Amino acid sequence: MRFLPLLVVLGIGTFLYVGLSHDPSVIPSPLIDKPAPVFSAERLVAVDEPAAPFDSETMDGSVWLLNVWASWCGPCIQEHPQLIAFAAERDVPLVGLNYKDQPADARAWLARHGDPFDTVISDVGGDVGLDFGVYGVPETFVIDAEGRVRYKHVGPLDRRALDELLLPAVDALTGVPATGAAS
Amino acid sequence: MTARVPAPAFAWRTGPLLALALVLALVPWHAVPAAEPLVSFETDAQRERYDRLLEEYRCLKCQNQDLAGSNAALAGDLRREIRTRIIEGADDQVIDEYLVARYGDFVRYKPRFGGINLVLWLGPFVLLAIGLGAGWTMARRGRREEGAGHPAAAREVDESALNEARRLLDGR
Repeated sequence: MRFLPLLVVLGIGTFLYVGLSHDPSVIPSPLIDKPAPVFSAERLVAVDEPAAPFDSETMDGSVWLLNVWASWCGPCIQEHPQLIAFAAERDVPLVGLNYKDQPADARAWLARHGDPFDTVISDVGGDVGLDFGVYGVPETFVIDAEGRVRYKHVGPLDRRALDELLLPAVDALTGVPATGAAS
Repeated sequence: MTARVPAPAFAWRTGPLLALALVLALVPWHAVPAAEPLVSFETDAQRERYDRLLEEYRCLKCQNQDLAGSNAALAGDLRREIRTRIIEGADDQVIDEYLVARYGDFVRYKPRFGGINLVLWLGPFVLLAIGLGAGWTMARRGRREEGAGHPAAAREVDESALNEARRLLDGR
């Protein structure tokens, strides 16, 4: 009983430490370990190319990344070098979801900043984003070979988040050990 | 040394401006609804459900606003989805499942009673009970010690120490 006040203080301290170090703008996704929404949408293609639909079920059997971005999104510019690095360092399909954007703006943005994406989906109305529970841009989803969402990153990926969170999540699924380039 | 400061030419305007600012400050801006094209429903019951549901869910972009009061694009999308579902005849549970499957429990303004949320609902009462219990125990112990007299009075005093004290106090 003599140590009761100390225990109370430690308890409150732990509670506050955990509570205050938690970023309230990051909301855990209910999709984690659940099947990713199945969707089909138009790809972003060059002006002279014919329309090409994208069906998310064609990704079944491979681990892939879905990155939500837009040309109107400032933090996406900060994040972009990390996506380019990811495309160079890993042989994992990187699919861009161009959220609530105009195709012409999106094409110009990619021409200016570089295009690391294997495919870009044009989600002009934001319907695909809504099904994925997107509430801000950028967001990045890691989807496994069975089509389940395994990891979600909210906000721009910096180099540290890429190395410490995203790459380990991807490598755990592909079974590829981290290469020296990632350190 | 005759530098006179010219009277500011626009001084006379500050009074009305201040009055205008005060009047504007009094307008209950928070009560002005978020800009939204008027939504139409076939029945008043549908409209009432819509208005009620918009207050039950959170806009995740601006977390302390409900869907009714938020101007964020995401809130507009969710309002549209809710309206579509109401017109299609979906019941509240279907709409709730739609939102929770995408955004998690956090989208609900009023947390569900059950599961891990019980900590949230009942935690304060448990803490209150612990506090009251601790207070009651301490008060009871204090009273018991009072009844037994001051504990120091009961302690045996070393006779030589007492003599030493007397010697010092009497000044030899």
